[in-house]
Amino acid sequence: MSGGREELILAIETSCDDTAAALITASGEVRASVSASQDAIHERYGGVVPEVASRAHVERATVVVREALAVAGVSIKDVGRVAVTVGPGLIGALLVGVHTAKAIAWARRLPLTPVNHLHGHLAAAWLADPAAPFPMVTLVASGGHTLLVRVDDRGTFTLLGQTLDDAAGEAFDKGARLLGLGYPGGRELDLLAGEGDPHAFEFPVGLKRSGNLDFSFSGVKTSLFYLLRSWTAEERVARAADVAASYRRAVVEALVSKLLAAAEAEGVAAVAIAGGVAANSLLRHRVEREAAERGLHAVVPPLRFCTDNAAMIGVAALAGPVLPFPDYLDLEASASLPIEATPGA
Amino acid sequence: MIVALDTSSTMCSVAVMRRLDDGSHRVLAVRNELSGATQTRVLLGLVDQTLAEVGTTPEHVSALFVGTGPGTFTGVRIGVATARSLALALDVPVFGRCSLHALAAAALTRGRVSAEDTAVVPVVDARRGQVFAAVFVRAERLRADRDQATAGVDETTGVEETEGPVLFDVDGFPWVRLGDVYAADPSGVAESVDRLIGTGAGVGLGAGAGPVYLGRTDLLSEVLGRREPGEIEAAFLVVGHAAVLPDFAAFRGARPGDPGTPESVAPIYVRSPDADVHIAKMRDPWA
Ligand SMILES: [Zn+2]
Repeated sequence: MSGGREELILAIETSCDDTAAALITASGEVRASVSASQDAIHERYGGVVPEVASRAHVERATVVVREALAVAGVSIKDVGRVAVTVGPGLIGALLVGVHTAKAIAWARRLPLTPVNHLHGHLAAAWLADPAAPFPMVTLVASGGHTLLVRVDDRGTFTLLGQTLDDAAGEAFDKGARLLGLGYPGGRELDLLAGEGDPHAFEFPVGLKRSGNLDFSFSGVKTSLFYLLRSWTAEERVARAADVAASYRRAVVEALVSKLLAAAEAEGVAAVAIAGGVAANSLLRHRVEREAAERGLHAVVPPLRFCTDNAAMIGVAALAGPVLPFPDYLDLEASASLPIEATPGA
Repeated sequence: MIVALDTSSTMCSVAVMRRLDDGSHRVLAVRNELSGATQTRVLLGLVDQTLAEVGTTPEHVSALFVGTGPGTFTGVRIGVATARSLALALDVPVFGRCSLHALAAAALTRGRVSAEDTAVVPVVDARRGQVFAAVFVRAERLRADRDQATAGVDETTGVEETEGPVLFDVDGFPWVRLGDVYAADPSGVAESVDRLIGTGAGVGLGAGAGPVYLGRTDLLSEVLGRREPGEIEAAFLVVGHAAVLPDFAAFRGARPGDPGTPESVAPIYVRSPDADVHIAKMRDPWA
């Protein structure tokens, strides 16, 4: 880079249904973060259809990159490194981002950093709060993942627990669908829950007394199904707010209790939440309040860093390996990548 | 320097060309790799090697061409995503071309098909027991009263309009596409080709050496069944089809109105994604 300017990193994220690009500096400052959501596309299918998502990523990948460059007011020639999510996620969707990143890096003779998507979610904590103390325990909860991770520094992660069946976001989206709230529905369920009585119904909190840090959300989902199935359509509408509030309470209770149990067991100074479910208002409120009660530092990132985005991928790349040109030419995506895996290392 | 690439089939093809003053292209290097399901992994490495063979570097690339399918969805997508991203990064124009046209054009320019042949029919694997196909004929053999614009292959699924009828100029004679690029069961392709060009009824294009089918030999035996295959060109002979991408007669150079922007290049899928099961689930969450 010329003129003593800080290196700019172009980050690309296409692991599920958001096509995203961001530009960040070597010190972690976000110069641009652009995301094209596919919610409107997948709405008619009631879920993310992999082939449909892959097609949308191809249409949008260069668009979000150009938009990010425009927002930052720079040219592609100002980019000094490329970072990209290589997994975990939908393989066809990941491949679009990986090949977009590889082509740009190759064309400009740039180094490239492959990033574990989950490390991106963890990085949202220091993206939002650079001064947050380590070690911390982070809850990553989204439509595809629910896990508890001990974070000792920006590159050292240990899995403490995870869901044994559905992801928390999946439980919210499926609940929303049963309540007729549309797609994806998690946000609508959260809003509706705010108007209801959270103690109107008792839903089971999965693995509450299991003594470990794993999650299970299939039970709460099944009991919602049987409850609603026993009602008429009119009853479902009339009691929807109470049902949503009670259902939300059960899911959030599982997340918060295990997060705090993990923090206590690990003796950490801070807790953080990340992933799309971290947008849930009850979860945010409870983590902030209950962490404070225990004297724990809490990182509750702004919504734009919780849902899938490329800024978090760029920040995660700062702690990742740098593959020099052209060592990444045959780099591929991988659908399943464990939290401990650092691709390219 | 012009780079062309196609990853729509198991044959990954990359070519580097120089544009001549008369608008044609001289091929400087071609690389092909039969890479099956991993065709996307080798693509960028092949581009790198092909440029290196010519002794040049990416900053000397002035335009890109890419085969846009139909073919394997992932292969088509990766080819298009790569070409679009290269165009963005190098700030050069990029143009998309139907991959079936490229296969046919490559066979035509190499003398694999003669003026006596009635038609050329490239066939590629479409998975799920189907093939993608298209039918090309020499324009002068079309009967004057034949309405080529409405000549379509019936009983097809997901018909999609591609670039239009003119394929390639061979020795001054244009070849044109009849009907659309389509997806069909292999066993129905030969019959629909007969119907389209009228050989079965002895009308239409009249007598000739019969259609020439291009494709993998295992696909062609399914397409042709127990028929006499006549002249069969194995797709493996149609290597280097990326090299013909810039030279389609109808699109030599940039077409008027073709902006050459990354976003102007789109994959040709022909088939819609199989999302019916998801639609059913959403309509009835109680199922
Ligand atoms: Zn995510």
